[in-house]
Amino acid sequence: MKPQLEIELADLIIKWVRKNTQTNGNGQVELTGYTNLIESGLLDSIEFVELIVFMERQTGCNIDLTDVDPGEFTTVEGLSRIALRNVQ
Amino acid sequence: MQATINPIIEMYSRLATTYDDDLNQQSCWGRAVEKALASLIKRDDYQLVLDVGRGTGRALSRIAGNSRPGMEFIGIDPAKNMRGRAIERTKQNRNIKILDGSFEKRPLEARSIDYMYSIFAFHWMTDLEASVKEIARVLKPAAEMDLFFIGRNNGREFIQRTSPIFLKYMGPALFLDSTRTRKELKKEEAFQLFAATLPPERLSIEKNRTKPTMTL
Repeated sequence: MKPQLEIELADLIIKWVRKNTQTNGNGQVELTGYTNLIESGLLDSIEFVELIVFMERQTGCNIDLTDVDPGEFTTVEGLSRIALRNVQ
Repeated sequence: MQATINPIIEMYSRLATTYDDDLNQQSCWGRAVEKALASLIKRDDYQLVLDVGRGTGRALSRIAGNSRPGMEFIGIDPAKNMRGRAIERTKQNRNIKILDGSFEKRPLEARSIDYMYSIFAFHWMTDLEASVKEIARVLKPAAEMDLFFIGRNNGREFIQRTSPIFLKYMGPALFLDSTRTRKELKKEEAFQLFAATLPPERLSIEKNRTKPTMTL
C-alpha cells in the first residue's frame, strides 16, 4: 500500500501538470500516474524544471536527482517517490 | 581566486573528440546545423568574418575555403578542447584564427567585424545584456549578422522527440541543469533585447516552425 503522503503528492503533481498543459496546448493528452511526461509531450524541459520547483515548495525539501533513473524521473508516480525519498 | 566553471563549456570540451562523428553529424541537430550553414549569405566585400561558438571549426573551414582571397576569419569558442580540434582542422588555412572567447567576452577590436554568424550557441550565453553589448561593440556600423539559437514556445514536436534522448544520455540531474543554464527567449523578448543596443530597423527575427530555433 502506498504511503498517504505519496498519494497526496502525486495528486498535487497531476493537478499542476493538468493546469500547465492547458496553457501549453497539450491539454488533450491522457494523463495518469504512469504517463511519460516528456515522451508524451505534456511537458518540455523548462516546464519540467518548473514542476521540480513546485514539488520542492510542496515538500519543503530540495530534490536530489543524482543517480536517479530517467524512467522513474518522467512519471508522476516516480516523481512522487523521488521527492519523498528526499523528505525522509 | 578560483575561476568559475561553466558546466556547459566543460561538457562541450569533453565532447570535442566525438563531436564530428557521423552519428552526431547525421542527428537532427547535425542536420539543422547543415541547413543553417547553407542559408548563410557571405558577401565578397567582407574583410573580417566572425564565427562565435564555432566548435571544432567544421563550418568555419568550409566557409573560409569558399571565400575570396584576402578575406579573414576568426572563430572563437570558450571550450578548450573544441579550440584544439579547430586549430588542428584549420592549420592549413592561413586566413583563419582560432581564439578563446564567448558571446560575453571577445578578444577583438571594436568595430572590426563585417559579418558575424553563430549557429546554435547564443542560447548558452550567461549574461544576455553583456552579450548583446559585446556584439554591438565588435561589429562595424554597417556589419551584418546571422544568429541561430533555441527559442521558446516553438518546435514543440522537435523537443518532444529529442528530450528523451538527452535525458537518456545526460541523466535527470544534468538534463535539468542544462535546461536551467539555457536562455530560451520568446520572439518578442529577443527583439527587445537586441533592439536596446542595435538599430531596430535592421533587426528581423524568424521562428522555425518545426525546430525550436530562431534566426536573428
